[in-house]
Amino acid sequence: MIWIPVIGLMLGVFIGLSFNLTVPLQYSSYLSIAILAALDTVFGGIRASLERHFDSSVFISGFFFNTLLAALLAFIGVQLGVDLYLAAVFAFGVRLFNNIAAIRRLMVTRSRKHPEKTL
Amino acid sequence: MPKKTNPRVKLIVSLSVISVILGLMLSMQYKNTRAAAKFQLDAAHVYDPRAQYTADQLNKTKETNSQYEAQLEKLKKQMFELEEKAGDIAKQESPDLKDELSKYRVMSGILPLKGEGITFTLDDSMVKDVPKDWDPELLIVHDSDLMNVTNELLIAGAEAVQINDQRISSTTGIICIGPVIKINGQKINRPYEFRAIGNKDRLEAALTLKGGVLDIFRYRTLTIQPPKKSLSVSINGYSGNFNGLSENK
Repeated sequence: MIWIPVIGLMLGVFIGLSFNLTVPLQYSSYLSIAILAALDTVFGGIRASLERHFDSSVFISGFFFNTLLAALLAFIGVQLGVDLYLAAVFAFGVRLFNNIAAIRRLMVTRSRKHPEKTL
Repeated sequence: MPKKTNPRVKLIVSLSVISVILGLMLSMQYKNTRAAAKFQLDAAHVYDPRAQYTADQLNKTKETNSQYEAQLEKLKKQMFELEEKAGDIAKQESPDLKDELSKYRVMSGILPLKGEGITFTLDDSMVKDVPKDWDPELLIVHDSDLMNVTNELLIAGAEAVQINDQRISSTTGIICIGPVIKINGQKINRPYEFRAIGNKDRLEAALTLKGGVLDIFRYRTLTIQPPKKSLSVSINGYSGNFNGLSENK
């Protein structure tokens, strides 16, 4: 069942590449920061599911809220001449690493407990 | 079991939906990055024909300049050799000829000279509290001021005039090029030091005349070091060419 989201990711990439969907170049920086937020949310979701306290409404709302907040932060930063997007990069970057580290640790402990069953 | 499948299905569904969106964003950003890189690459190789043309012209001109300089060097050498010969002949045939030659050299301004004359210096105004309604142009030395002084000196019988290190020759131009003044095609800076060879009393009198050039400068609060008479004023030879004023364009 875990390959369904992977297929979803591939589907998204395929749609993005094959159809003529583009974001104007000047909004590219907002998109990049939004991607970082989205990645953070996805890994947070995976971690939460491994820790068995996954809540889909928290996950989905977190995804959109974080993504939009990051883009908004970057936008405000541009308007004020302050590199506010660095705050988003830093916060989401650190969280991304934490989440991935937590996922790794959980996987390792789990594979020790049940060597035959990994997620 | 049904209690457990529900959240698992929910997890899979929401992760899948989010993954699709994430994939979409990733691919779009990837395309943008590619486009930006391509754009930068293009921008680096933008071909500006006008800039290229100007650069070509500059290089060509530099090349011809160095060619002409070499030629000038060669011709000067030839000239001196010929003058030596001519001098020998002239000595035998007509002793006056050599004197005449040196007279014309003095007149043309190519010879460095030394003799009695005056020196003085002219500079912009240093006065702080000038009347508010004055045109600030009055407070600086212009090309026209240098011309007026030069004319005054020549009218008073100066044989040779020099401003800073530029000899005033028969083809010298004095021109304003914005912040500085160009003489003989060379930029010169304030303060302007005048040297003139001639009858020192007459030169001084011409400058310090009541209502004369220096009086007007004094009224404009320009900085003047008054003319100093001297028995040995030395003046450079003119080192430029005599192709008229074209170089002062």
